[in-house]
This record gives sequence, structure tokens and C-alpha cells, in this order.
Amino acid sequence: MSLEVVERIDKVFGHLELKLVVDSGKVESKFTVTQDARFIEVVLEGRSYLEAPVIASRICGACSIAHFLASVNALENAMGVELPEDAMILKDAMNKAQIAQNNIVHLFFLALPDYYGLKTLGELLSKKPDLVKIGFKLNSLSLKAVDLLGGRIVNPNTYSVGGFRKDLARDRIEKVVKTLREAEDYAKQVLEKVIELELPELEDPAPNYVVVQSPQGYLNTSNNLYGSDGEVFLGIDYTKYIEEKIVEYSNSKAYYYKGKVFYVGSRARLNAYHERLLGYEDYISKILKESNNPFSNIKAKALEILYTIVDVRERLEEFLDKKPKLRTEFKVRAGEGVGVLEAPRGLLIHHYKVDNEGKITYANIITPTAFNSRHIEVSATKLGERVLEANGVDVGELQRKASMLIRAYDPCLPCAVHVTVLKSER
Amino acid sequence: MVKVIVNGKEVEVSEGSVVLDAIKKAGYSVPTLCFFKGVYNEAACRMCLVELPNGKLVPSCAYPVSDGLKITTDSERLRKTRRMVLELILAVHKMKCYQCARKGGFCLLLDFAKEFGVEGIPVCAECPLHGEDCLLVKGEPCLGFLTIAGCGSPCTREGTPCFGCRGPVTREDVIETAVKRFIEHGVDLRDLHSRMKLFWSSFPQFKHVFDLVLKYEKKYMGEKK
Repeated sequence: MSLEVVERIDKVFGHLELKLVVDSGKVESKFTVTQDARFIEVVLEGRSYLEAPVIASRICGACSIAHFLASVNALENAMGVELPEDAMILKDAMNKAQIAQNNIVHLFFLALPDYYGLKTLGELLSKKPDLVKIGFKLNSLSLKAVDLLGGRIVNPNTYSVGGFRKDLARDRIEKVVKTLREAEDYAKQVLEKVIELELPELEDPAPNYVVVQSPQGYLNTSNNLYGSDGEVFLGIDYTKYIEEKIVEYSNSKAYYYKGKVFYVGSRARLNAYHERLLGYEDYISKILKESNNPFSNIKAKALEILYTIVDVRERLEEFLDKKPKLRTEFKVRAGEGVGVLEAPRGLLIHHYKVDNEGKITYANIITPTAFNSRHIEVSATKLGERVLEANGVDVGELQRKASMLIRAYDPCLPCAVHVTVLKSER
Repeated sequence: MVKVIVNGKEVEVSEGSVVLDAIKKAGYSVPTLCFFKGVYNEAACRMCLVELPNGKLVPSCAYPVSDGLKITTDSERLRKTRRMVLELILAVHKMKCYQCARKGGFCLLLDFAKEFGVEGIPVCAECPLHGEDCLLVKGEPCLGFLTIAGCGSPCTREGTPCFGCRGPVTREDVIETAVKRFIEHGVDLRDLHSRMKLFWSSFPQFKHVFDLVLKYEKKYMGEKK
């Protein structure tokens, strides 16, 4: 008997379908991005280096800062811009504030109701009003930090290639510090709640990952990538290690690291660099017990909220007593550059070629959800088989568990869309 | 004391006062532009129009109260008329926002334009950068000169030149001065065109504006040579 279960996933960014084909005890899954094409890479071609990050940040309203900074990193690498250390720290702070905010939105508005057996945030609000109110509060506080650092809540405008446009005023940094100090306590409460949640059991069928390898710290900007097999390679060599394949049934592509299926995201970051997080050992030991479970991504995300809020505050407190140098002079020149960045949902790659006027001649953007798409498929297959073993052919249970799994990955489809034009021979 | 009925609410005001006093006492408001209590009440701008029961529209800042006077401060017709009045004012207003003393968000005209949805004032009216700080003076391709205000100018406030995301101003005189200034301060015109096409190309008025820009560029580039 063959059965096809199609689940249109709700509570994700964008349009997405998961097809589960159940055939005599075996499950095959198809992760289908049904979002329309965006053609951002074509729009970028011919644009100057000042406009490109502005366009790139419009790829997605949820993580506009991540796209903006990855684009800026790629252009700075292409033109050989060397930033002062203070500007790097503030740039990272911007990214971390965004990661905290995105993780809060993902946890509260999308994923968390699943783990209480509920459907929507509204139901969660009536069952657990205290928790959801903390979520709202935390969201508005982290948005305020993003707003103060990026100039706006979405599509930042304080930065352009070469550094910050203006020196950030002291009282502005003070405001960020104050906001984050207020948020810290809430973040701790959320983490303690989330860490106790019971996750559905699932063993990761492909435990390989790729993360950005920063020389020190967690979530800092760097040009290196790190694979789960211990290999460290330059961002510009990504095509040598990560191969892409066209998927016929989806508007996104599939990616393989050294021929193997891999994942990116909060869980990958925690698995790779958990020993760098000092002062969170109790939480980490609890999360790492389930580190091989794709669902534990939400726990890693909750930990990241607390870590980023504390880390950004500590870094910015150092700024209060000095006059930071936030801008550098540079010459526009031709080159090729790759910007790698840990976006809220995982590894983000922007690849540009620039001519000697600073105009872009080639653009390639690969987003976290595109990297994750193949991994979601193999985990969904595994999950489907588990459900079949335990419950028999139960369509409702299959759909519920599968959409829960997908939401745990926090996919963002508007970014993942990537269309390839196949030229047919006449 | 005389009784006046504002939007169905009865208030008492002293004899010799104007309808605007009664409206304020009743807790309502009407937009006023030229009125300055005790200094100027010649009803020049006509923004404060109110409606009488016989359908007459009168300026509330100058119309004297009488016993039992009924007035309406808000209706579809009033909003339409006020909007038209504002458009007429803006049509003869010299839009030199970049040199205006009310620049930086203190422009009453801009506030009303936002309220009534009348477009045509450029971002310079809201931009807080004065004099030497002006991005255009520094030679940056800032589109604030030519873009509809109302955003609160978040980009120039952070030192980033305007990208024109709110669409172009269509007035010819504004476009002419803008192009003149762009050429005067040595802005790269190819950069400027690319920037205009970024957000504006989706606006229906884009072709009209871009043709004008090209026309005046030709004129002033020729003069410069």
C-alpha cells in the first residue's frame, strides 16, 4: 500500500510543503520550497558596492542584518578593506542582537506551542500567560537593541563598506547596555523553562555540520569555515568542499559537504564550540545530552538568547570609557570576495566579484535553509519510520510530528529560493 | 455668554470670541496653519474650515460666535476641502526645504501633508543634517532632495545617503534645483541614476521624473562646460 502525505507547513517564514510517501513500511520525504523566485542575485549585478548590501538586506525582513553584514563582509574581502577592531566588535554586536531577536521570535511565535501540545501562540497565552508575557517583553527589548545598533528595526543603515557611518553616541550605547541588562533576567527564565521541555526522540541520521570558525569567542566574524570532521578551510574555497545539486521538485537546491548531508544552525554552533561558552556549563551539559537530536535545536537557540544578550552587553560596556575608531579609509578596487556569517538560522554565504569601479559583476548567495533542506529530508524520513513503527499508518500523527520537526529547524524560505535555468539544446 | 453646539456638544463661550475658541473648549481640534492667537487671525490659509448647518464652510479662526450656532468640525467634505487647500498652498510654496529654518522635523506643512496624504515635500524637510553636514555637500549621491518625505529621515540621520525608497517628488521646480545642486557638488551622475532606478523604477511617475532629470542634467552640464 502506498500513501502520500502532503503537509503544508504553517508557522514558518514563507511557503513550504513536505511530502511523505509511505510505501510498505518505508518512508520517502520531499522537502519542497513552493515560494516564488526572487532574482536577487540578478538584481545585484551591475550595482555599486554601496547599494549591494542595501539590496541584500531586503532578501528577508526577519534577518536583514545578517544578509546586510554578510554582503558587507564579502565586499570588504573583495576590496581588501581592513577594519579597526572596534568596528568589528560593534558589527558582531549588531549580528548577535539580531540572533537574539530572531531566536525569540522563532521560539515563542513559531516553535514553542508544539512542545506544550498546542497549536498557536494564542492558545499558549491562555495556558501559560507568564511565559508568553516574558517572550513579548524579551522581544520588544531585543528589538530596541537592534534598533539602536542598526538604526532601524529592519534593514540597517548605520553601516556601509569601510565602517560605521557615524560614531555611535555614548548615550546611545548606554541605552543598549541598559536595555540588555533588563532583558538578561527574562532570558534566563526562558532558558530554564525551555531546557526542561521534553523532546520527541529522534537520532540524527547525518550528524555532520559546517560552522564559521572564529579565532576566539562565539558567533564572531571570521573568514574561515569549520566542518564536523575537523577540517578548517577558507570561506572563498567553499565550492571545493560544499557541492550543490539541483532538486527537481523544489525551488531550492540541495547541498552536500564532502558528499555528505549536513546541517547548520544553533545546534551546529553549540556542538562545535560549546567549550568556548564559559559560565554556562550547567545548561550546556543538559543540552548536550540530546545533542544528536534535531529537535534540540530549540534548546540551543534558547541558550543563544541568553549568551548573546550577556555578551553584547559586556562588549559594549567596554565602549563606554573610550572613543572607538569605527571607520577606515579604503580604495575601491577589483577583486573577488566571500563573506561567511553565522546568521540566526546558520551559515550564510555571500560571494561577489567586483570590477575596478566597485560594481558587482557576479553574485552568489547561499542561505542557511538551503544548506539545511537535504538534512530536513533525511531526518523527516527517519522520523516517519519511527512513527510508523510505533503507531502504524497514522496520518495525523505523521503530519503533526513532521511539521514539528521542520519548525525546530526554523526554515526561512524567502531566502532559500534559488532558481536554476536549464538551457535545453535544440 | 453664548451657547455654541460643536459636533452636538454644547459649550458656553464669552461673547466676541471666535468659533475656534468654542471648538477648543469642547475638546475638539482643527488644523491651523496661519492662525497665531492675538497676533494673526486673518484667515489666510483656510486650513481651519468648519461646516455650518446650511452647508457653508467658514474659517473657524475668524468666524464670530452667535447664540445657538451649530458647527461640524469633521466630515468627508471637510477633509476633502482641507486637502485641496493644502495642495493649493503647496503648489505656490517654494520647496527649498534644504535651506529652510524649519528643517529637521519642525515643518507644519509636512505634518499636515502626512495627515492628509498630500505628497510633494522632499526628505530635506525632515533631515536633521545642516550646513557642512549635508551629505550632498560632501559629494554623496543622496536622493533626499528628490524623495517624498514622511519617513522621518532615518537614513540621513545615521549618515547614510537617502536611497529614495518612498518614491520621487514630481514637481518640476524641485527636480530642477536638485539636479543643479547635484552637478554643483560634483555627484557622480551614473551613481545617481543607478540609485534612482533602485526603488523608483516601480513607481508609475518614474518615467516622467527621470525624463525631467535627464533634461535638466543636459541643460546644467552644458552650462558648466
